[in-house]
Amino acid sequence: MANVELKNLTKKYGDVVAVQNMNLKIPHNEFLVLVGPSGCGKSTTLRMIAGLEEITGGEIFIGNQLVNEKDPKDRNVSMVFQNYALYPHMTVEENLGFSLKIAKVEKKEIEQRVKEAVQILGLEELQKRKPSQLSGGQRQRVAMGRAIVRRPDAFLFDEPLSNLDAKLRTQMRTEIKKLHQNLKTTVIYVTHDQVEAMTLADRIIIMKDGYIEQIGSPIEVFNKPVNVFVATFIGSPPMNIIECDIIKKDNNLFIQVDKNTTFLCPKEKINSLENLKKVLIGIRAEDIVPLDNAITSNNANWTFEKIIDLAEPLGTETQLFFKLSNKEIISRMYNPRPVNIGENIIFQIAINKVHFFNYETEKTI
Amino acid sequence: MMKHIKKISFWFLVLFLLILICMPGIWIFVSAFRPNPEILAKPANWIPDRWTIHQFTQMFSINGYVSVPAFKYLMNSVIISSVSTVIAITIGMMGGYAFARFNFKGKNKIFLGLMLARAVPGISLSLPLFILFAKIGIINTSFGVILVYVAMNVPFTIWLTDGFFRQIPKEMSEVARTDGCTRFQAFWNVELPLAGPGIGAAAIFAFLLSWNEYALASIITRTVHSKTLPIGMMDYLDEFTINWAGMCAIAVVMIIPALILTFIVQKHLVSGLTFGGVKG
Amino acid sequence: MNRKFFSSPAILLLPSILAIGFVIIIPLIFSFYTSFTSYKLTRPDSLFNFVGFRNYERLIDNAKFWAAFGRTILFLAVVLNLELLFGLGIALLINKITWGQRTLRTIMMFPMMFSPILVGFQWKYIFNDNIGLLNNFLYLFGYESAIPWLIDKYLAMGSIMVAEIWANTSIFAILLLAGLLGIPRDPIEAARVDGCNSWQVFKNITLPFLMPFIFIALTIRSLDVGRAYDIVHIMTGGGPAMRTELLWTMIARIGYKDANMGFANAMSYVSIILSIAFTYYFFTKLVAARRELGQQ
Repeated sequence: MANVELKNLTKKYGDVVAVQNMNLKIPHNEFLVLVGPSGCGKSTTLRMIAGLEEITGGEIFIGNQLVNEKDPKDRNVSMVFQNYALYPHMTVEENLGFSLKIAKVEKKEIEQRVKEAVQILGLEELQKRKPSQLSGGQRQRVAMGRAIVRRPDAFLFDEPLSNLDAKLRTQMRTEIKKLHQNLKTTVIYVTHDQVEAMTLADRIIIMKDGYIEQIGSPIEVFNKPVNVFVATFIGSPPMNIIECDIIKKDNNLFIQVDKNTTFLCPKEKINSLENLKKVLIGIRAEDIVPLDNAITSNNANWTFEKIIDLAEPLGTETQLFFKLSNKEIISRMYNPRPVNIGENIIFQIAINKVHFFNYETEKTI
Repeated sequence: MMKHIKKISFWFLVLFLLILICMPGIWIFVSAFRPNPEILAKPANWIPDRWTIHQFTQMFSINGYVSVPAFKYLMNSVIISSVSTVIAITIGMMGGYAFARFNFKGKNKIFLGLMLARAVPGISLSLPLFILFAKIGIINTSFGVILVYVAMNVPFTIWLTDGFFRQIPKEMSEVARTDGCTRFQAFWNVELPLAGPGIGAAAIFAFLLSWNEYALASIITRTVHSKTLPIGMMDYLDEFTINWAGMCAIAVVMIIPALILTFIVQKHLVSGLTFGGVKG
Repeated sequence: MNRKFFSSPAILLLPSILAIGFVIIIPLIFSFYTSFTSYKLTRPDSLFNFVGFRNYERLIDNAKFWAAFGRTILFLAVVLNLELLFGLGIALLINKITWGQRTLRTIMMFPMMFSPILVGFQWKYIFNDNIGLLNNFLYLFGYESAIPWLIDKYLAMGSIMVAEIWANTSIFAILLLAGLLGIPRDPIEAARVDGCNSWQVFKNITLPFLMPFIFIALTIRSLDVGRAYDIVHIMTGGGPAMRTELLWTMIARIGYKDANMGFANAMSYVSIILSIAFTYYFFTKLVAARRELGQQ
């Protein structure tokens, strides 16, 4: 059990940068999720921590010990792979006990610890089976069991759920969360699925092109994304981003979304927007509320009327699609009523829910 | 009706194929167990009137007078083929592992170079080998032949084992390494057992190549001291006469182990050949 | 063995390279040298008698060499093409069989495992004009005069080719069958639905997919073309009157019978370049074919 620290961690493949100057402190017992699109460097980071990938530059500490030069076997971490990587020629039991056997742990002790893991994961019936006789979810459990048995300083998960079907994935997600609560170990978890990241993490790291875009708790990154990338990556459906002009008129500042739609700029943003010509605004689908369903009645809220292009009822909500400044916008209508295509609906946007991004840098204003 | 004709002619073709493949072997087998004169019978006699193991007892009579010391040849063959196979597999496997698991400069070129070394015809190589081996005094020794067979078998073993190792996901070794194995332990405990059947196939293939080799052995081996079965077979070939029955008998001794081994490897051999070798 | 040892491809490859270096590369360098001398086995001092390109010049002027060279090319062209063709046919045939396919596949592999020397002997036996199985068989149908299979110059070459094809077709058949079994069904079914007939399906889908397998077989086969020496050596020894002389038998004759090593080595180099050229050609084709299928 230990904290993990990365200092200026860098990985290059020839001239291609996979991870650039990454600095990170992971306190003991934290569940940290690295999330990002494929090729963002998240898996490479994990593999460098495990020792499976050479480090180009920087330092890695596990439990305050520099491990740069250490073999994977000496780092006392356990890794769970996307394809489970169970040893096909060993039974479940043997798979679980393998690392202890290699470490020359006494037989009794091995049995004891395998038994523990088997109980934690509910694998009692399957001990004598080979991996080929297991279902996907069972294999996943064995892979985790193999990690548990070792009592590592840190668990490393590399997209462990992406080979499972949707239903099983949700179930295993819960199990992983519970497991972490029981074991109280540092977990570093890599995924491309933002839902997994949100549900599991104590802290989320969003990566892109080898850089960290944002670090924060799930609520933080959801509510206060630092830039357009994070805003659109976290949350589903992705945040609506609209390009707007800034117009000064009669000493007031207006945000022109399209020809017919202009909103008054919120007071607290005036200073920062005054000198700009263009701005990107981001609004989550659930914050574009049909007026019938609107809860707040603040005069400063933005309202506008649009023709609905498409309505997708999902039961608890209906997703409404319409065009704003030639961009397709999604709105979520809770407590839905039937909506016809071509119907005119008045929407309301609570101004405190609007995100402003710099047009050039795409950073939050 | 058309369908019937198609089907019948199809099976007829298969049958014809089978006969073509098996007939020579069967004829040799039958001939090994009959008296010499009967071989010359016209028309051919497929089932001997009188079965005899005379040729075999003659070959293998360890005491008494032996015209062809087949037992000694057999022993030479077994020893040379086994030892050279074990060595070739060991070092070839290391090479195959290097190609399957590492990226290094000039990888494809080295691979190609190894294959091209294998392409040198035995007879062309035999001339300089003969002189060199004579110079350093390992001509007509089992050691010399073993050395040659190791080198002949290594490239192909690399080709095959490279394929087998590549069929094993890389994560297998990675997870073993995070599980506390050294790279070698991961190889020994996980990758080797998984590639086991394939490596067995490669070993048998190497064994057969040594077992069957003629061009080089015919030059390097000179006496009963190191001659292998294929060379020993020539003892039945005089300037003007051939002892057909004796030759058939020694042929049977050569074929049977080869057939049994083929039977064992066939499945893995194909997968190794098709998987290995080339990548971008 | 420690970490460094098993982590370094250079060290892993070292024993292989050493073995090949000692048994193949050094002898080849040596024979390259002797090909510029008048070295004769019977006169060791002639090893240092440097004659420049004379051996190669003699080679160029030697009609018998060119005849053997041409014959070797012809032999390889005929044999490789027919083996490929028959191999493909057999693979397609066996691919259609559902019952007993594996047994048949195993049986097919047997000729591959016959020692070439045995193949030569076996076919020498079959083609023997006097006691041979073939003439014996024809006798049944009334051909009483023995056909001199291995003595007539055309028949002898043909007989050798038959033996060579018998021995090596199976490697094509086996590998192409493996290719056929691996073809995904979807594209074939899609093509059927799109209105292709059997021949069009074969030409447009099966064959392109098989190409890498064809080149694997050709590459493996080309590694071993020199083994034809064994067969020819046994069946005819290059005779009658050198009518079946291939490069390899000629090398053996000049090198060992005439003890003219320098000249034989010069000839060896031609044969080596020939083998390497074949292998290299098919190997590059194989790489290209795989790339095309995206199986890098």
